[in-house]
Amino acid sequence: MNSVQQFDPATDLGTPGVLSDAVVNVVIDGIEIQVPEGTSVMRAAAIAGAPVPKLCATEQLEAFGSCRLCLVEIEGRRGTPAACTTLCEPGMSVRTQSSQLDRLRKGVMELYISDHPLDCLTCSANGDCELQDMAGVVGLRTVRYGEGDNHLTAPTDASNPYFSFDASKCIVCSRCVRACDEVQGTFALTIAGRGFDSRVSPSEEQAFFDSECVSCGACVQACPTATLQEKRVIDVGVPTRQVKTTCAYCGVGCSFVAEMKGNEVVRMVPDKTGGANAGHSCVKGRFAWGYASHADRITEPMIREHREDSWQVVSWEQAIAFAAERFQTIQRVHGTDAIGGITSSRCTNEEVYVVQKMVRAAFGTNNVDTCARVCHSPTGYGLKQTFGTSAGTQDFASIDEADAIMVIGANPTDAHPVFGSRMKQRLRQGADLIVIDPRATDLVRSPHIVAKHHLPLMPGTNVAVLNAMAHVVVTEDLVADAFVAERCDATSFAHWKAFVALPENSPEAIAELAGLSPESIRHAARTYASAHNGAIYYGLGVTEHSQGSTMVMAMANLAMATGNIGRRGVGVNPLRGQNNVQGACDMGSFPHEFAGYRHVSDDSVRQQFADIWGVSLREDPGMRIPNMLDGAIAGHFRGLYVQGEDIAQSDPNTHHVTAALQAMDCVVVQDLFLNETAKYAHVFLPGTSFLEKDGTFTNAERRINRVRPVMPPRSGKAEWQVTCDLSAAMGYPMDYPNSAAIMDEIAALTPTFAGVSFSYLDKVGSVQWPCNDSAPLGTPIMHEQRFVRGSGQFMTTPYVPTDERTTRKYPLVLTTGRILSQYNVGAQTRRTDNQRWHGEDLLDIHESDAQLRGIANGDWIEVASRAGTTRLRARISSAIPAGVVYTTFHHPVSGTNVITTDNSDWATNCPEYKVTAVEVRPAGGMSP
Amino acid sequence: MTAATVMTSHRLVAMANQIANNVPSREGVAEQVAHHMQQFWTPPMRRELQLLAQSEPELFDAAVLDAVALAPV
Repeated sequence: MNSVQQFDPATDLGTPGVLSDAVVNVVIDGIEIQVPEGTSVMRAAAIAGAPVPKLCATEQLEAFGSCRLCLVEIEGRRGTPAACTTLCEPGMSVRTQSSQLDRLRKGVMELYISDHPLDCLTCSANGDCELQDMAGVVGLRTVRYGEGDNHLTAPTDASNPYFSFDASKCIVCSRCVRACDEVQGTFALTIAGRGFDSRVSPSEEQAFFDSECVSCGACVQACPTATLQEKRVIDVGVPTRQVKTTCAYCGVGCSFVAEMKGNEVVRMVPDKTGGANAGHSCVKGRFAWGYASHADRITEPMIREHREDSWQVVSWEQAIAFAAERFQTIQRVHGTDAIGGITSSRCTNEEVYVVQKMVRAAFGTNNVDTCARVCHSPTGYGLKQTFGTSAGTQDFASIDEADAIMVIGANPTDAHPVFGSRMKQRLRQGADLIVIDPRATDLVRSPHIVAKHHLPLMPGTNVAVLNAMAHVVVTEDLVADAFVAERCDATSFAHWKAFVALPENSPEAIAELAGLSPESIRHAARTYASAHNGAIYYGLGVTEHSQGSTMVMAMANLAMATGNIGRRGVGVNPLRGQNNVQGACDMGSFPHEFAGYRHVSDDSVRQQFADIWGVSLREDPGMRIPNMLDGAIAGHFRGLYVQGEDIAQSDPNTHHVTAALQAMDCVVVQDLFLNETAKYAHVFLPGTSFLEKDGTFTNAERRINRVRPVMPPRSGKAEWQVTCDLSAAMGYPMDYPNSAAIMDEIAALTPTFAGVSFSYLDKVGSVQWPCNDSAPLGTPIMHEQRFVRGSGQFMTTPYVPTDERTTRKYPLVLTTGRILSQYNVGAQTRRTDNQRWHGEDLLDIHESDAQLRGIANGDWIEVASRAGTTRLRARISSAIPAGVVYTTFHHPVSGTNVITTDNSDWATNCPEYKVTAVEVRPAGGMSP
Repeated sequence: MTAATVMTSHRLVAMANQIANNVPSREGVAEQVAHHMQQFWTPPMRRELQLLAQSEPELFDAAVLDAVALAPV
């Protein structure tokens, strides 16, 4: 007897799989098989090895039953039902082949082909077209219908930069429309007209580029013909080989199949077996990879004596020797701790690991930090204090069982789009949505979704609002007493309960401060606490505050108090900004801890590393990035190795950052491009794009995924090899035969990675840490039986207002964020056609604030804070409340971080990007 | 001492005071601050804070002054 698991999951089985404990036995063409109850005949037939011809069906979408090609015969039934919309029933006997079915299917295909260009040999989808395949399968040889009305001259819409829509080839199967609805959740496409006039229409018969389409590529993926086709395929032809790898943009970490022609990428196709994305993608991962071959790529090492000099191209050996000599000179003159390094969340675990190892072992200091310092360092701190480990609790699929979803300070449809789509699928199924965000993000109201509660709180009041929600939980008897008694520390719970129950933490007490009504806070708290499964998802709107760590602990408290930890559908889930933020933190990039979040002062842990590394290691914490920058200005920190991070654009208070960089004697930048930081560098070491890397990324759900090279490194060297060369030149050789050997060392030293190796990942696809003898298959859900720290620890979370106050001089609060088409500082996306959607950063301002200042939509305005001044164009927006302004930071010319301040989280020094007091006034032109 | 050094030194004081204001419990604040500095601050930063505590105690939250006395460098 066959079972589902025995079949290649990459085969499209026609309709989605069904999760059911009940099974039914059916016979398909004489083969008896068992399938889960609710399985379609089409899927069962495919499983039985008797696939039924199909056009409108794909397992990514619900059955639709429009093409009439999948007709079958069922014993004891009249007619020829569609296999896609007919469900298996016990004892059902199905015939997929008969002379009658052959005749019917051929007739259907004949009708399709009679209104389809017969240009297969020159069609861009030749060899990759389901219509062509099905014509072959049904044995169509002639078309009897002569010329008549047809769509053969229908126009092509080439407005989208990445794909075109050739209406002459459309068979109106609605797969694109359904993909936009069911998978992406944007509802940008529809079928306009009726009967013969039916046609696919973006929005209200607009061009794709002008429509609501978000260019996720789901429609292109779903199209069974050449109608929706990647322009790259049209230009260069169909690919000839493929390599599975992982996207290098956000923390969702989507799996992709890189489809290649030689060493040239033809297209990136989302991998439906990908654990994080299940076949979906966004505009960045699907299409915006052209930066990897952009003319701005620097592929040769360069040095310069002084930063005012021109760059000089040199050999690798010269560049490495120059950097090593400078670093060693600095250490001789200014001491061991006068240099340090920064690791990058855009690099693989293996690349990050060797950089932090070089700093600790070759430099002899713990002065290593990572770009997570400026995004999710409070997550690591807060979740470790409460749960015992510095990571989110769930896998992404867990949201499919959430009944109330609370999104705090996150905009997943823009910043984590593929997970955002999954979240929207659950919301359309009826889960309640609570959005806590100053802005009315897209989630608050989108097609078929309306947030049950939107709390547009004033930036900087997160902790006060969460405490007020907790107040409601403990004073309205909404605590999950049994969970708390069994799983949590009783003493800390008692302290916390008494604290949040104080009148000063009631919704009524903090409502005015937060700019909310007390009732809205109470209703939101009740919705979350009374849901069967309540899940929290959060982003940088939580962490990038002076109380970022406190807020993370406040969310953890609330989840524990309501019993929303340790099973599917619940949890506290950080939406990580970059693809490998989790991994970079896991790999020991923070100055106080080794890989696996173990403090450098722990003698036994330090000895393990010292034994394997063959060097004595420091027991004192090193400097964080802001400490290094302050140290540079003070004169005692003189040299910095920066791996793949543009601190001169991404870090707050640009004047302070650049002053620090200018004060250093040696700055080494390892990157793809001459970024803003490289303006202050003495050595440039060319890096590798994700298409050239061999390693692993760890996404926001702790999923370790392989990153496989699809082409050789353009610079001739892998990044980890360059780091090893520099380490050797500094007197500490690191000899690895390949990056797999680096992972083997990581596994040997990191208990949560003990079971991880490249060969294991190649076998299983991906795995979520902890992966070790206790959990050989990984751990999708954390804290199921007990918290990592034992009992859950409640932490009292007093609200402390930020020092960044609005005044008469700076009366508005600036908050920042990302947009869908661009990514962080834009180094990658600005070098793609994504520029067409967002060519500049704009300042969103509420109409009343704009009117008060005489500002009209599109006007140039000056934004001034206590840290600096910049100029942007204004956009009048109803998405933000009066008193708040908002912008993105994707373009260096905008200088957004010129105006953000040095204020930071009390525990981790994560910058307070989300609260800057500013004034906005009309200006005559843009920044010089 | 240069202006830059003064500025960064005062940032250390501000950071320490901020920690004192934010540690979770209002009981044993000095101990919590001392523990935090042990965990996350470099010895030179702690030494510098000690010197500042002696020379400019008026800049300090009282709990930080107590913490400095508790935190070995």
